Amino acid sequence: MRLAVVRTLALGLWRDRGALVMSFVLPVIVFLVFAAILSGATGDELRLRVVVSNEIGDPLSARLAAALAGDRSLRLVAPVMSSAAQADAAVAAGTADAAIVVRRGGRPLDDLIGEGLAPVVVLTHPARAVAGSIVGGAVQRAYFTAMPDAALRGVISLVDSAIVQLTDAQRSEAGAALDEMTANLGKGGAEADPGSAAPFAGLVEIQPSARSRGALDQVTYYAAAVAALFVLLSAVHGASSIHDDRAAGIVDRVLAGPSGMAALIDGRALFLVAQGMAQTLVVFAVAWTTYARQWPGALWPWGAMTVALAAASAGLTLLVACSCRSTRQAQTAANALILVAAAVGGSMVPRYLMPPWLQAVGWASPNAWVIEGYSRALGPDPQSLYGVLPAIVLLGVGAAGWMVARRRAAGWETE
Amino acid sequence: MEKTTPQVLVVHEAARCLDRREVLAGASIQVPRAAIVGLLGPNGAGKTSLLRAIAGRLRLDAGAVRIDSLLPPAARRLGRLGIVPQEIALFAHLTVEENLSVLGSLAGVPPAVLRGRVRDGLEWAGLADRSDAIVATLSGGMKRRVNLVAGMLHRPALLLLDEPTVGVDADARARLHELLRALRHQGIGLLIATHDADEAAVLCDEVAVMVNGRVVAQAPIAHLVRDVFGDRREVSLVIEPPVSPACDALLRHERFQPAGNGRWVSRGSAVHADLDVLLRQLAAAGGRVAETRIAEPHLRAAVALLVEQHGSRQAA
Repeated sequence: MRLAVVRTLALGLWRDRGALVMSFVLPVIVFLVFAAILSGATGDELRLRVVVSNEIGDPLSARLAAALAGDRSLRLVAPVMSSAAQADAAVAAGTADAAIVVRRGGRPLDDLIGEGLAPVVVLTHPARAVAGSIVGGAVQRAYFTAMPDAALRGVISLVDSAIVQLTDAQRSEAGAALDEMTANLGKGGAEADPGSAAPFAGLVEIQPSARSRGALDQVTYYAAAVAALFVLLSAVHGASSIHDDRAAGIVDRVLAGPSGMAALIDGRALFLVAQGMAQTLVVFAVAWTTYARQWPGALWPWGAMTVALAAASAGLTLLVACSCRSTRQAQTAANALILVAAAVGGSMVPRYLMPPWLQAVGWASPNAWVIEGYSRALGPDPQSLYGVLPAIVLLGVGAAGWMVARRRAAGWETE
Repeated sequence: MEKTTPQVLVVHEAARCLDRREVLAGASIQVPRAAIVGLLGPNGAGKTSLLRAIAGRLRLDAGAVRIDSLLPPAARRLGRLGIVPQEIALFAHLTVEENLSVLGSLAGVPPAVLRGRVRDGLEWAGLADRSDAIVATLSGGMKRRVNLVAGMLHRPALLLLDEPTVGVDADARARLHELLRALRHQGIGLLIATHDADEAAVLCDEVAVMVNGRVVAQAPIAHLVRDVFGDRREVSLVIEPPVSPACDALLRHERFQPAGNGRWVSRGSAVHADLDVLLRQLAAAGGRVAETRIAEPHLRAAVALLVEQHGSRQAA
């Protein structure tokens, strides 16, 4: 008897191709996507996009720039610039994950011990703060690997000036300074000031990009990412319910009147847009009030992106629903597509941590455009074509999906 | 004033092949105004296909459909056609009133009169006190009534009903019959697809019988029964088992067919005139007849006989 139950379930699974795909193919796809992401984030494939600005232009800084260009964990997306403002703009615009600026007014690259500003600044976007730390580490690695002579020159200078010909008082003072350094090192963790604990840490300073201040921070990034994922998931239910209406005879009844399938599709689309906007508002409201504790100055760019997100979700889920034959098939297909789109589009892991090829593939995901769109809408230049482009793309995708869904549904009117 | 024709529905020689199968093979049917026409036939005869063709949901390879003198798309656009599907075509999570408002709106009822139409429909169907009830909580009979009201909110000239009383008890069925007769009284033409010839006999003014994609007969019930049977009767015999081969051959020769539980039925043969002779022959062949019944011709038997005569691809 138990075997009869097993046989029934096995036959049910075998004959339900959608369930079969969900059970065996989807896990493999999601695994491959996550494996690619995580191997990229932790292994050799991590290559952050950076721009380098050399405000000094001397041989030493040129050597550092060349060393950075050869670093395997970095991708220089533009030739070395002379202006920090250009680099800052690239970070704010999202064309670079971080900028490395060899700045004017900092300590010389071969003298990291003395007073003054760190010679190198890494500019980061608030939504890609992790990139700052990674790039900072890459700068230190490039400096000590490619320019050991400069580093040693600093040490010799230190010995010459601070260790040779010491007086008793100086010895005592140095001992006290070293004791203090030891004590600071002992505190460890994030509370210790690296600059006061270890002199060489003064090579790099990490700052937020000036033009991206107030833009999408980490919390807002994930608000956009989560909203994109769940607006799509919620829309699946409403879109695929068209098949429930067909099975229940409601479609037959409606088609006897003047409305036609277009009314059923349009009504669903309008509802899904309203639902998606409400969901997104709730997610962002919680994010801004709970974590950011402030709302953005201008809400209309955010509003435009929210309409675009909801419209794209409605159009795409309706397209999938109208391309399937049953509720179950539509939900299975849509959920599979949404999970993959969320993974490659940055809803689960930031795209800048993915391998370059996967970042390129990610542009096929609406999630990537949503996250990029909110980043630009809350950035310094939301009214430019650059700022509104993601919203335009999403609105176009939504409208196209909606229209194709209408055409496919119209085919159900007459057999 | 709009010119009206005596027939609210005229289907002429409708034909359609689907997947190399002739689902409609030149079907013709007419529904007069203020009349109830039953569409009878076995499974697979083409009843649903014919309803779909009338509603404009099935393209025809040949033939024509006119609803109130209009082609189906125009009739739909002008609200001349209503449908009551076999399924409970309602939103289960909405109340009765919400369902009627939504479906009335989708049927093209102007917003200014929708509320009044819903109220009238609820009162007409005896559902006014259940207007706030969630449809999923209603009894089967009540759901059927809401299903019916939803199909006529826009006051169509022709109402197509597919098994409108399936799955309800006798009281609920009688209530639905009252409502359908009331619709006829309002001047609406009703075409009801059903398997139940007994129901059609008490409800319909005319019946049309479909076999293999064609309407093989359409007439008022008494006429149709008379046309099919003439002065013949339905004779049934119960033979105690075992039935000898000689008896079996004799019964089949006289056009009797086994009907289960030892019963053999002859429809439309003139055997009743020579029944005594047959009974003697059966006795001589070793058959023991436990029961003999001669029935007046009735619609169910007439339909069964028509199906037999026209060789249904699937038994009735």
